[in-house]
Amino acid sequence: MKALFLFYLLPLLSSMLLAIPIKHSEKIITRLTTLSLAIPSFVSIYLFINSFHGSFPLELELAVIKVSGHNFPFTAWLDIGTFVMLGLTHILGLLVVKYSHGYLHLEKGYQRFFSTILFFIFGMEVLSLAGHMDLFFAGWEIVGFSSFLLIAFYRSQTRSVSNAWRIYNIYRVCDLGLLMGAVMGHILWHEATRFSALQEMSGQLLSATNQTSLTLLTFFIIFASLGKSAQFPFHNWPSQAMEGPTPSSAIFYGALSIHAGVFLLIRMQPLWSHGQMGTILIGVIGLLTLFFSSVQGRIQTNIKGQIAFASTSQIGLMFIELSLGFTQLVLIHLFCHALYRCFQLLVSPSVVASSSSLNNKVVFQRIKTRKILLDKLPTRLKNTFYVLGMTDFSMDISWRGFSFIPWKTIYWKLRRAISHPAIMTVLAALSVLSLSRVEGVDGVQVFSVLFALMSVYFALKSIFFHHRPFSAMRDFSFSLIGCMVSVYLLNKQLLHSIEAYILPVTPFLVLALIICWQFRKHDLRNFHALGTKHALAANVFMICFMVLSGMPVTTAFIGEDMLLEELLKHSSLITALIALCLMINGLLFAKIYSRLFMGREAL
Amino acid sequence: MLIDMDFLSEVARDLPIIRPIKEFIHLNLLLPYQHLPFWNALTEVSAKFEAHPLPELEHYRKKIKSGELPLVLLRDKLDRILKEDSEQAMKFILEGKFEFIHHDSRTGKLHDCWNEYLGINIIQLADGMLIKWLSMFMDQGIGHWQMPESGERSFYDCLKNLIFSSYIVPAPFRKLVLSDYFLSTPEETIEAHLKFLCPDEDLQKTYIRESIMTLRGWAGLIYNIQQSPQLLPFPRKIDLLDFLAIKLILERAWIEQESPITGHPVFPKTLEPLSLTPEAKKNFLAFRACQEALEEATYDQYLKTIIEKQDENEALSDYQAIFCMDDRESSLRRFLEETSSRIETFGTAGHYGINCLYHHPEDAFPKKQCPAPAAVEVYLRDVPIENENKRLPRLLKFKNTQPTGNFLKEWFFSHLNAVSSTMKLTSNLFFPLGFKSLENVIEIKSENKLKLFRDESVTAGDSKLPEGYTLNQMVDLVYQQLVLIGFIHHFSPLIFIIGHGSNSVNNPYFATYGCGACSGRSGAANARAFVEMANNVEVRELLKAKYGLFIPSTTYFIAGFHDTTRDVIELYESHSIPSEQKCSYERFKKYLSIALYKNARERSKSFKLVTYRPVSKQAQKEVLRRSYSLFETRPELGHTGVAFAIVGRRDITKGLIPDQPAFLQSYDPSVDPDGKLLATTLGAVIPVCSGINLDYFFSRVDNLRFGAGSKLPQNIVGNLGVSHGTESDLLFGLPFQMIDQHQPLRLFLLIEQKPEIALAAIQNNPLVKQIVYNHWVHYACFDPSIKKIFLFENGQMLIKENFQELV
Repeated sequence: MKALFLFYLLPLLSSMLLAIPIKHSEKIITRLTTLSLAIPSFVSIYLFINSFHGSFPLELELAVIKVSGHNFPFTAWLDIGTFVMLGLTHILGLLVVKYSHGYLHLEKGYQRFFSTILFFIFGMEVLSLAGHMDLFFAGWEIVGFSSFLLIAFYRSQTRSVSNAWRIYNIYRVCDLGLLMGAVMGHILWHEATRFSALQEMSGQLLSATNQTSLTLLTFFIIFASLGKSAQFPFHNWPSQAMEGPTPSSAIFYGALSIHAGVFLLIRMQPLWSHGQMGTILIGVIGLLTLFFSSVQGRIQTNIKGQIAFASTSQIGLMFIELSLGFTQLVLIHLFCHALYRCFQLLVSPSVVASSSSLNNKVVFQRIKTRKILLDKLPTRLKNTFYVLGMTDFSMDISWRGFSFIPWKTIYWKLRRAISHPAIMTVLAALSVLSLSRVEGVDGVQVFSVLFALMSVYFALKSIFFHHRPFSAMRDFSFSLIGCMVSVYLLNKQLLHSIEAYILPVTPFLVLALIICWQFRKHDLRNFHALGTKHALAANVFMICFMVLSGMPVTTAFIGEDMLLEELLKHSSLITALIALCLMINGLLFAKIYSRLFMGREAL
Repeated sequence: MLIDMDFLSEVARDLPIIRPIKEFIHLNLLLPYQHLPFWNALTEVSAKFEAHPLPELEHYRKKIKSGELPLVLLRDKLDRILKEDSEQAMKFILEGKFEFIHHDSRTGKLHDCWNEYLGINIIQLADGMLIKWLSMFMDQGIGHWQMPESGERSFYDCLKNLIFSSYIVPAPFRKLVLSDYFLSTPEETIEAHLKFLCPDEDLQKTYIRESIMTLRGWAGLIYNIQQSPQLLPFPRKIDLLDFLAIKLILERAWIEQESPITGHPVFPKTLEPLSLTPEAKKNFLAFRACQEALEEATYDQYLKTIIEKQDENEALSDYQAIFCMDDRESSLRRFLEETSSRIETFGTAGHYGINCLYHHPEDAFPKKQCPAPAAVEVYLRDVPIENENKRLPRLLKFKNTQPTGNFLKEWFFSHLNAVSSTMKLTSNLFFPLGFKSLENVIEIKSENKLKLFRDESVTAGDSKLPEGYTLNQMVDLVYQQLVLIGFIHHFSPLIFIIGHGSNSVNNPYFATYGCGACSGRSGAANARAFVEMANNVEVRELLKAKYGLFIPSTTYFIAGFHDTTRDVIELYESHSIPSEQKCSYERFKKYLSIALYKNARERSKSFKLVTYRPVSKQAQKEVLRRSYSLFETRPELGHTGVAFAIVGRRDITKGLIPDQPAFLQSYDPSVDPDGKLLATTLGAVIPVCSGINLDYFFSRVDNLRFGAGSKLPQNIVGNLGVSHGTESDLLFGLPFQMIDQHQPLRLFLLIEQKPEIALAAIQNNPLVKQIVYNHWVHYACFDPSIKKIFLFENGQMLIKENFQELV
């Protein structure tokens, strides 16, 4: 039975096969994608039927990877939630892929589309089957990454590319929550947070664990789910994400990816429902989202935007249902909603001609005589609502104000401080001191924090300051080295973890540096569309991007996971700083990739 | 004052002409430049829009390789156009490198100064908001909450009032007092904000031009609505001034919001007018030579066959069928004539001379059913025969395609419809035809009756037009139509009048597949109306008395409707055919069915996906599937490949180059010795056909500038148009999927008439004269008496002796 799970790797394999820049005919791509989706679907059906007899829910340990004395188990957890998610993935995957075969006929990037979709489906499979948090995070990351690629599917549209980058920002920031959550789990239970264990955990056991950590963990988890499921204050992004072909929007923002956050909450339910705070927070977020997206959704006049807000408001409703404790109900709601919304998006182009056709007497009368809630309010209040809705509750502006601009300001302030000669000398002296006196000094931690801070500084600098790819990548390397030094200073015992992380990564870092050197003259403020001309460089850089941002299909992911886990045993502050660095680094790669290889192409 | 309407309308000349998507008609995409000679216009446009209005180099190289573009001819053209540089140009064409980069159209030079100064794309942020607000104001029924007072006030007043009366000041307006942003009139506002945005007075006009051009799509729609407000079912008051005022307010507000510093970027002292570099000019001329050579080579093949063709003996026919002149009907006519030699076909504009507003009982508004430039003369209404108060069937193709906006209802619907919608999707994806019949000739007993005769006692409904025709008008109309196509004798017992239209699902561009002569709608109603007139006994009597036109009483007219996507013909009211003709009618139905099968087969060959050799039934399935499939982006190929229009007897075109679609207008030179009928015909034919041809031409050659890009990510905005995703400007032109198989050639218009009459026929209509004299079409005539072709060049018809041979 365990061998059956190998079939779930099929989408990944086909995706990689299609990612290799050898052009295949549409027919071959069609067959390959259908096959690599159909076989896992049969496996899912088999597992589902099998689950009726035998112990259920079921935990299966499929394999274990050992890296320098550290175990990374691949565990599957089969319960009703798994089958709901897996079922959706395969049903909608098959339908959407079938739809896209005809829909994308003769489109440039046919192969790229299916490669990305299959990669996404693999991510969803991992996410649904994952038996513990680390694996779940792996699936989660894949989904986010493929989302970035599909929003930016039309590479020559600069707006699509910058929207993709903006949404990837939100994803990364929220992923930080899940990453920290996963690492926290290790501290609390001395292994990855197993969902099976979580289900069996009684309230007492949870009460026995460290309450602050538990609250923090809850907070991290909820934060992570906000980004993926587009809940308040991030509920605007699905409407901006409708830049790819309709079927990709349908499967991502109508159906699967957007429900991943809800699924995470279902998985972690024993955890957040233990304390009052989690339950209340989820409920409040759900309510807020419901309110905001209902108002915004009613005001939208484009069909895809309307569907996006309708989706987020339904997911807000799911959040409320969750906080009220109707977990089973949420599963049904999730399943039905995904199917329904996917269909709506797929037929959205027909809205001009179909039932809402204005020219129809009945429809016209209905629209003309429509009574709306808003009309019952006094005029000024009504106008206020409308104005707020039409400016998206100033959410984007505030979001920029809260997130983007402070980073920028922090960076500029830091920069001004550091560039001061006196501080420079002191810093330099301190670093020399720290390196020479590593052994036997208690104050080492201070230096370690110092280096971690420096890494953050360099990471921020690489993304906000430089307009040339090479200098940005150079600062990125500094930041990476800073991280490692900081870890080393913290505890020499950690050297093996550092090695496990850094060794597989180094060749890719060098490659990325070489590529950036090659394009050092290009300004990162503009799009250069080198993707077709320098296809090889683009592909290699994409691989570096995946490795260096810790994409789960690469070994760097396990190294990163291990490193952070070991680190957390020693210092939580440094872990947080380094995790932040790693997250920002992912963004940097997305930025360089999109600016160098995407944009308007020559005719 | 700086900004006046004159200046704005001058700017508006560069805007694309956009109509609400359901009112789509094919227009020359460079219509504002039609007063210039073709090549001059193209040069100007390529500099102004940074566009490349000719096919890519690769296209010509392919043609050279396949022999369709002979090198001899190309060299000849190059020598004539480029003179001493021709060798160099030849080299460039054969192995040179040509790169053309479209810069992002959404920013101009002055706006870029701001973007660079602030370090972020501030214009994109401001435009994003403006696009949203515009679509909310103009919305035609998609949004659930309409913008308060959007129907009563103008755009500027409406927004001003809305924001002033709100309790909370929305975000980008928090830096200043609101009344500093919104001044009392749009004009004042524009002037005030221009001082901030572009203090340099010499550059202000350029700044405004840039501001408007960065949102070309919306500005184009607004300008068009401003001129013909009746295009919107829910009327809106908006003009370019309003648009500009709000745009400048938003630009300023966003700049202040994002930049803490008060300063200005350094604007360039003077802006150089956009023009082509000398090298680009040379390249352009090389392209021009390629295009001219390719056009000449292609046309010559066709012209040669026309000259060499022998006259056919006129045989009496059992059936006559009049189709629309549309190029999609040309193949069907060919197959019909192949099936039986006793069938004679004619082509004419598909509205059959009936310039009407047609009101279907299920529709809320009457629709214009005549060519777009023509004026509407009457209002025609279909009335349900049985019971007027019967509950109307609704066009519910896909229920619940749109979210309701109410989250409780949505909760309920998502549980209720999840399974059914998935089933619907699955069945459509895997079995799009379901149990639909494959029958391709369908008899329909109409549920409605046209109110054709004018009832003087009743005044027409909403429109101020008279309802229905008087008897005299009908007689004139029928005579005019028949004499235009030279069809005044030899009436066979059955005459079919076939209108055409198209049906496809999940296609926002469905209107582009309709009948061009009926403003993109189905021509069934016009055909029915014409048949009713022609069958009327009184009309026939008067025809005889007034014009001497005798239609035998045994002759019966039948209306039909050809669905060009499904290749299905519906025949109306066949139950009332006189019994003695029932038998021959049944035989014709068989012929029709065979012809339709053949047509379907030929069409499915041209769809690239088809790999099997279609036998007739399979081909029928294939074309039906395209009409019903949700995922089909190319339900039919429309006017793809159309390059010829022929005004003349069917005899000269019968049996020539089978796979070349052409507009075929019937015309008999012998009944029109003074060219008066020809002038009338050309007045409709030239604008419509060249509009279609040039729409395809420019969408194909530069889809990024003049076309709508790919259909796949498109999103419907306010029932008005489509955009890419949720934040882009309105798209215009044709999408990539409609033109990717098009051969961009200018239309070749061939008239069967003497050269002096053909030349005289275009003198009186200024629009026609403009198009022909500026070479937006190739105009030629074929003198049947001496069998020679004359080409229009520099104001005269020149005889053409040499024809290019293809190797």
